[in-house]
Amino acid sequence: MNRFWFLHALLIISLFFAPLGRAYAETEMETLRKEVRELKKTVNQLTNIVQQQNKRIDQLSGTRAAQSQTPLPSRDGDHPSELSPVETAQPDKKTPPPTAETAPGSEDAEIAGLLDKVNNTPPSPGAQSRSVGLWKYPSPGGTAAKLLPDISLTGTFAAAYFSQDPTGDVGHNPSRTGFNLQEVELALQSVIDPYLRGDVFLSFHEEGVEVEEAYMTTLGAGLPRGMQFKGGKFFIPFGRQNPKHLHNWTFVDNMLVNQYLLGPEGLNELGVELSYLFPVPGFFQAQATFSNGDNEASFGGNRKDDFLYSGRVSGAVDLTEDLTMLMGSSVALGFNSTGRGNHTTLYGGDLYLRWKPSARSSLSWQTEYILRTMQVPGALESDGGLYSYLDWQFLKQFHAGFRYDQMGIPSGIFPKEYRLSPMFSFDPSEFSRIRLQYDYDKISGQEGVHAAFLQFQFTMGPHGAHPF
Amino acid sequence: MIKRLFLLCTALLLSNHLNAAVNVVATLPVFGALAQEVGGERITVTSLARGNQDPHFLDAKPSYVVALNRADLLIHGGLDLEVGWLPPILVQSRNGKIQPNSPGNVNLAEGLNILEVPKTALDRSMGDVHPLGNPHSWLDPRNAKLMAANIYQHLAKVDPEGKSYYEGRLKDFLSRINQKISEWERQSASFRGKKAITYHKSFNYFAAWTGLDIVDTIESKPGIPPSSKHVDDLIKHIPQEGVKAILVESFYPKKVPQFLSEKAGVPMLLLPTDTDEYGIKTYFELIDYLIREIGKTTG
Repeated sequence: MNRFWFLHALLIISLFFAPLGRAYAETEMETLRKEVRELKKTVNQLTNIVQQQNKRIDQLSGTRAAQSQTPLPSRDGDHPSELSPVETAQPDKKTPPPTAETAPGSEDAEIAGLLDKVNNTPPSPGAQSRSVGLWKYPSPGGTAAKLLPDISLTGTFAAAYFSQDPTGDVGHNPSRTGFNLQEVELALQSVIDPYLRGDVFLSFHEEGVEVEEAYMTTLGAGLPRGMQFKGGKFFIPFGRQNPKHLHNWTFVDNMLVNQYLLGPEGLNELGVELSYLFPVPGFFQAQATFSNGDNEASFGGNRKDDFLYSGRVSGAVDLTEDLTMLMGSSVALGFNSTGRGNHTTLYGGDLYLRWKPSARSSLSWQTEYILRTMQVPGALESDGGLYSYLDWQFLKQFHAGFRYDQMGIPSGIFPKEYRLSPMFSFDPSEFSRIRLQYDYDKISGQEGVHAAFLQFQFTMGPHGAHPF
Repeated sequence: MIKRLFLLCTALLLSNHLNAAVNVVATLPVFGALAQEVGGERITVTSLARGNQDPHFLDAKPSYVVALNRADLLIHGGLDLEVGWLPPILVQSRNGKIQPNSPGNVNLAEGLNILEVPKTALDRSMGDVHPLGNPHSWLDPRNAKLMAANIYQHLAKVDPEGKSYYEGRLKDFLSRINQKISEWERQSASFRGKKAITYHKSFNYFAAWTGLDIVDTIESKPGIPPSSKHVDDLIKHIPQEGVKAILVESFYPKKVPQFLSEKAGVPMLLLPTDTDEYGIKTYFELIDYLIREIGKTTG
């Protein structure tokens, strides 16, 4: 039964991709047409040259030029533009009343000249941006570099002090008093073809290397408007913190609730995502994923068809020109490893408000609540937690922030716990950051833990900008 | 309930189709203003940034994603001007029509004579240098002509029925701007060779056209706020070099320029670099404003 379901999903997905083929055939037609048009243009130009030279010969040999001039619309001579001969033969048919005193011929020539410059400026260092598009930095003078993906490295290190060192897997968090390599991330990003782009993030840390994310995303060509597919290994769009990479975190360490309920590595799965942007006036998006469900913290069912299904809806609205509000709710369903067919459900709700009155100042407030119900042998355990933080950019290079974490609402497997984290950061440029943070972490019934961090971050190369 | 929602969605989809005007989204208002010159009544223009926002540092806001999702034509400055926010919203837009190198994507940098293309290997010790050259290209009206022609050719591709209409509007625009260019060149003759400093390298194309001599910037390196040493140097150099004015783009902090202006005894001029501020609506008004104000101060 379950296997049948899987085949069914595959079939649906392949049907969705079918229009791509048609679109490809269309582009091929388009290139053929373009070639024919180009040929026509060349022939026209050649004819013109021949006619002009005939004219010259006529003039030189003393015959009257008028004879050859009459059948030849002289304006066509310098007309390499897209304006078709038909249209130039009968110009200004539907155009608004011409204004200038200059002859219409000189205007056409000017447009042709401008278009010629726009389309045919010879390759100079700056002009290379044309073929490369938005995502790449060409190396000056180099043409071979054009097809390389964007390569960038982000390094994150932290000097840490703990009154009591943490135990177990802490993911990217600093794990001990002393110096910590949180992560070196290697990002490879590129457009693949007119239909897809690819993003690969390799994570190097003290234990080794892993593929943090590697996925393709459709760009919209050949798909119904608003629809997008993503496939590969990626962070499940569950809430706002989970999909973020370490260097995009606002604090040195992960949120408590994310750490406990989604796992130290986050909810990161192999699978596919279908998302849809609804054709309504505001931003309203639905995302659905179908993935392996290998996550050890909450899922990881033993049967081969114990998949993970997740969904998220989010909406955003600009309350004023400078103030944006984003709300979302997420759900994830799957099976855990505590017993055959034991299921786990995650629910989440999040709210993000961002006020950005200028390029140098901003204030963000983010809050997220996650609830997990988990079937374990003989019981159904419920655990919930939330975090809420403020991040204030008070000068272009300076941020101050405060975060409050709370676990145990309700408390099932995990005890009640809260954490307070003031933070201060200085970004010398867009590409480097120094962050200072203090944590006070209190698990009920235990002694509170003090921690202090000094984090360094740097980015090398053209790292793609981040979504909102 | 679901049925009703479905009906609502279809109705909205249909209304999108029925609305015949070409939906043009411009990253900056000034690009929108140029598009309006060419597109006239056949297009509706939405600009993502406002005139008084620094085009380098916008958020990739969800509302921009929606605007791009509905766009038939995207007009951007190219040269990585919008690299900090446009690429993610372009991917999220799910709109194949406006992806790079599609007919619906207008890169206005095409065909321009681009200034300050790095000649040596780049590294970021030079600050946030634009690897493709200075992207603040629109304050030279000769570039505006190329941009208008570029917009025209893309509009004619996405809306072939309007081609002759656009062509007529383009001709009209060109004849008006040609007239204005000779007028502006007469007016700006007075500040040819006059020295000025700017906050960021936003006026370099304007200077290259008018002959204004921009000797330094208040930022010590592009995108990096001025260091106190650099400010000290400027206080020394401004009188030495005979700088006539400090030109500050409206969205930069005024404190340091104000301080410099007082210390060095040179007037500070707050200037627009875009339409949609200072009551400026069209490209013509923008250049008029710049030439008038700079002329008053340096002339």
